Amino acid sequence: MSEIKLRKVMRCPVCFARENDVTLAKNGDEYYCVHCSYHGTAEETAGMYLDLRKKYRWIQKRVTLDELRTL
Amino acid sequence: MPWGPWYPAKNHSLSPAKNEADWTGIIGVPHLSRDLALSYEGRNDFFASHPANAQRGLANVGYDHPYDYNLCDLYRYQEDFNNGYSYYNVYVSPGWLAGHPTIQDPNEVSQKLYRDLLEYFVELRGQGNLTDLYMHEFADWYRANLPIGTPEVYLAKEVLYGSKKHYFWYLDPTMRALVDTNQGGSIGDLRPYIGKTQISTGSDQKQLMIGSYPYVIQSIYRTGAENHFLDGARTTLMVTHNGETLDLYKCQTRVAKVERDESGTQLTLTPAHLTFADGLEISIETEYNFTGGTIRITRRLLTVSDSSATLTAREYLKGCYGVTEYPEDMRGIMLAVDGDQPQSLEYTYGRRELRSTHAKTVSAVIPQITTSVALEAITPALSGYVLEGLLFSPYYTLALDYEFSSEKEISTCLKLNSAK
Repeated sequence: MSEIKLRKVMRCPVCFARENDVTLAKNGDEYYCVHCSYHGTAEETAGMYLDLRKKYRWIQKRVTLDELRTL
Repeated sequence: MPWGPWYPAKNHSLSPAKNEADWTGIIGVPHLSRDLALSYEGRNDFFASHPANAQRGLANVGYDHPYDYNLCDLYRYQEDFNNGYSYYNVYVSPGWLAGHPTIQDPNEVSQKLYRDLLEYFVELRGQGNLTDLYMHEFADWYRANLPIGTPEVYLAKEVLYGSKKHYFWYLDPTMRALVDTNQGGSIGDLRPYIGKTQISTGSDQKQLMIGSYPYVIQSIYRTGAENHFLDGARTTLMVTHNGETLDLYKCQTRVAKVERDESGTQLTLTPAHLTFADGLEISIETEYNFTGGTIRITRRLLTVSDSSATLTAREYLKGCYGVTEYPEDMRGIMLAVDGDQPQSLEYTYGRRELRSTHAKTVSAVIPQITTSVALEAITPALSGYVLEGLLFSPYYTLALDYEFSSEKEISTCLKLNSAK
């Protein structure tokens, strides 16, 4: 996956992994979660988003109507 | 609630009306069209027809978002099973396209993804594959074309993780049922609309906010197949040979065939293959037939590596009731078995068992949701079994045991009804 441009409002990747939306707070260059102990830079957090996407093996696969019929 | 539009019933607006007198007079529509597989397994606002939901679920890679098209086509696929009809919508506030805190993509990405989906709708409309309607136009169309009580089905295929899992949903005014083919064809969610449970929500009501129609089986909320302790709410078939019992939930199957006619909806699964420790190999085909309030489950022993082998099979239902993942008070539920030693008990968390030879029916009456659940033997059963739960396993178990041989099939009806 190529690098993805992000807004600077971020969600906690650890809480997201357990299906919770928690917006990260910021302290200097570091983001931190008010819900769990996660903290990291924007780059580290973006890297965790990429890791989270790895579970979606077909995230870039088009499955057409005809393909659905035989899937 | 239904996956598509429905006629809301008076007793509970998230259940479909059974007739004109039972109907509230408006057409209900879902806020968004949800992923028929992933919204069962997890959050429905990560996987829905609004592209920003998919972004929220991190299901896009920047401007690359095939999942939005795949989900739309998954709904188009449902036309194959519902007389050419399927409903899909996208409706959200503009905040989702301009800086929503759960979206990490820049606004221009969010807006492009939304536009892309609308353009796909236009493309489909140009091909004659889509009709767009205002809400009032749709309500008129729905009234004219889908009579109250029309059953609908959905064959869900998972298309984001790439698991190729199949889920099958059946819905009519008596029930909504989910067959989880990945667990050998167990029922993973069952809403007994036939019980006509009454729930109203609001600040002036006993039930403030949670107005879901109660389930009697919900395998995601309520454990399902066992992991570190006992199992939870689910159905399955258990096959015993030479003192060893194998559970069908460990077999991954798929939908082989869906047929619909006046006799109901018939679902056939691909065979499940089991191997016992002594080397005996068998394969079992499962067929479901859905009609009002009844699910007939037929099991066929297609192959057995040793035709002289002795097999028994247990049709198994472990149920409860509730609306969330937390258990409700089970006291007062009546459990019963008929047959040669008919017995019954009132639920007091005592983990008591009832057994009876030649039983035809094992049942649970749940007064809290004015509903009964029963397994009824169509093929003569050897015996019936009922198990009360305890505080750390708050369920009831209903089971029928059969001889199982390649010369015959076994057939059981799961019956839902209203009960006081």
